[in-house]
Amino acid sequence: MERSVSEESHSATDAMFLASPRLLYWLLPCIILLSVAGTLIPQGEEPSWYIGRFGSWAGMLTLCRLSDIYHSGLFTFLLGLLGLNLALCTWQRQVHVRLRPDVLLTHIAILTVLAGGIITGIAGRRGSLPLNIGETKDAAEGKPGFALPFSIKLEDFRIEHYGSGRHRLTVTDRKAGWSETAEVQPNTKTVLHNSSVHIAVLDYYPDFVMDKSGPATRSQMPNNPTLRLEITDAQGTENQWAFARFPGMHMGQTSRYALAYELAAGQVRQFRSEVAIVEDGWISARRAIEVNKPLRWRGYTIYQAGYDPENPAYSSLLVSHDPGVPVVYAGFLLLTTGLIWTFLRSLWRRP
Amino acid sequence: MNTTSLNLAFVCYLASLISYAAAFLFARPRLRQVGHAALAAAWLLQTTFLAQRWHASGHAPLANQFESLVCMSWGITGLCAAFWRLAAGKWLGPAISGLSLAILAVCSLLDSSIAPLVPALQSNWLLLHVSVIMLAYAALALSLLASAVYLAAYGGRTSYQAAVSLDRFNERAMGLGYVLLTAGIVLGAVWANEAWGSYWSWDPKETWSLITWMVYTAAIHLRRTHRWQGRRMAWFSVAGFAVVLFTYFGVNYLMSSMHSYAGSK
Repeated sequence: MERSVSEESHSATDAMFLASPRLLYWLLPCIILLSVAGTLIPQGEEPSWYIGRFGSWAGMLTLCRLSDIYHSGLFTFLLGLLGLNLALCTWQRQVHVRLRPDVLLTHIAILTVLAGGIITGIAGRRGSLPLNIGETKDAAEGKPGFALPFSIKLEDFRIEHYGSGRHRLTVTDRKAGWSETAEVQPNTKTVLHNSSVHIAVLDYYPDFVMDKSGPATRSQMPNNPTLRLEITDAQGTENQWAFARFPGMHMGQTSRYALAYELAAGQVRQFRSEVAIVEDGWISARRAIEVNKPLRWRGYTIYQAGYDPENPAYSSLLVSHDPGVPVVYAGFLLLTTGLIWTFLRSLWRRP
Repeated sequence: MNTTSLNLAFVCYLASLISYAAAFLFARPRLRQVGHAALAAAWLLQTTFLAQRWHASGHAPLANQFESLVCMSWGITGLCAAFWRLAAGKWLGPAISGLSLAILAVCSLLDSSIAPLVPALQSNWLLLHVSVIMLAYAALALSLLASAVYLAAYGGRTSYQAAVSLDRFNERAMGLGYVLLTAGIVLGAVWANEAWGSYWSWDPKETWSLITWMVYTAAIHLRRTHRWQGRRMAWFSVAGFAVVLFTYFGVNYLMSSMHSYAGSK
């Protein structure tokens, strides 16, 4: 096949431009602009959400992939071009002028990170494992879901709090008409209304239930906070129940005092899922998974991802299998080393 | 928590700025020494405050915007000692005092109470990632100061020795800030993989930190390959720090992010 001189000179110019830092100065603003757009337009929502938010513009947004910019063809193309530009630029300079080793290392590091990102995009898998206590699953849900080479059984799930919370009790005297709010504590007495009323918290049931043996608590989770109170005034002493979730329940209408009870739970300290790894029908290991403390097993990493405030037995785990991570981390190490080297070299350089 | 040492640091920064101003106005060079001493005292008091807060809270004082801002101001003053010899002019002391005063004034508008750590922040990565990022911002703030002084005092007249020195200061501070910013982003990515199961999620904070990194990447390449320096690089530094400010404040206040716990709290 014959090629004309002008074709060859064009391809040489194209190759030079691809290997030139000038292309970098075109690519960076384009990538920055698209990145900014991605932070201004909420990403990855359902089409109906965009219609509700942007009306007639929603179709245009979806068509231009502005609703999923970072996975769009244009953004991927720009990142690919950036990688190609960096590779060619590095190669050309290395051949002609010999890049300084620190600069070469830094450029190779960025290419390594990009390569790791490609591996993540192609071979990485992420899915969720929504589990109730006692439930076992051997496949992660997602788009698409995937099977695991082992099963996971959720044996227990706990939400740990800082402190036991603050119990606020509002007492209304139906007869006299006064109302007063106080913070009460289990096994202590609180004085109300100029010392005319004394309230003692006899028992606190975080997760109240009435079983055969009487009042009890199912767990230490504040799922159904209930107080058993003793109210003493000039007329005598009476016992009452106060339910945070069911304000009117068991409240004696004949009682002089109406009660409203609130429990402000302490801030969450940790979410903890106790799981068992099941392989070939046998439990291979028992582990705890917490936020920032994932479980690693046979190339898969399992994270604590979510919970349901209405269902204390539910825990949502996230499973990830990403062969790109070691490559990206290698790139990170090289990049940091290369840049520190470059900076130290600039310090030693004579002004 | 008792904030006496931080309040005293504010007073020392103010005393330092007044001393520098008096030294300039009344031509009393010895007052500059007073300014230096007050600056050093302010930094020591800030160090004391951060140590007290670390002890009282049981974790590194980097869990919210108040703590990270105090840390950043501490980093700016601390790093200025390392850059002191490089600043040939007399601008660094007053500039640091003024900037630190402004930062501590902003801190006084933020909630300074100590709250227990949310589960996502209970990690040693908090100390590594946030401290490195704050030091990066501190170094980039020094680059901004040098650029602002350059543009205000020497714009266009690069032949003066002082202007060359300011440009060199800008280069060094930006270089250090860039290395630290890269390391901070890398540490953040490793932490994100540990906590959220992905080293990069295109979260607004992550994306804006990448944008900041790309802006400074362009600046460093323009200086090295196209010899951009002096006035043009000073303007680039000012623009770069505007992006830093948006990444630090703008994202926290204007965008919904997985980093929201680091917001205005």
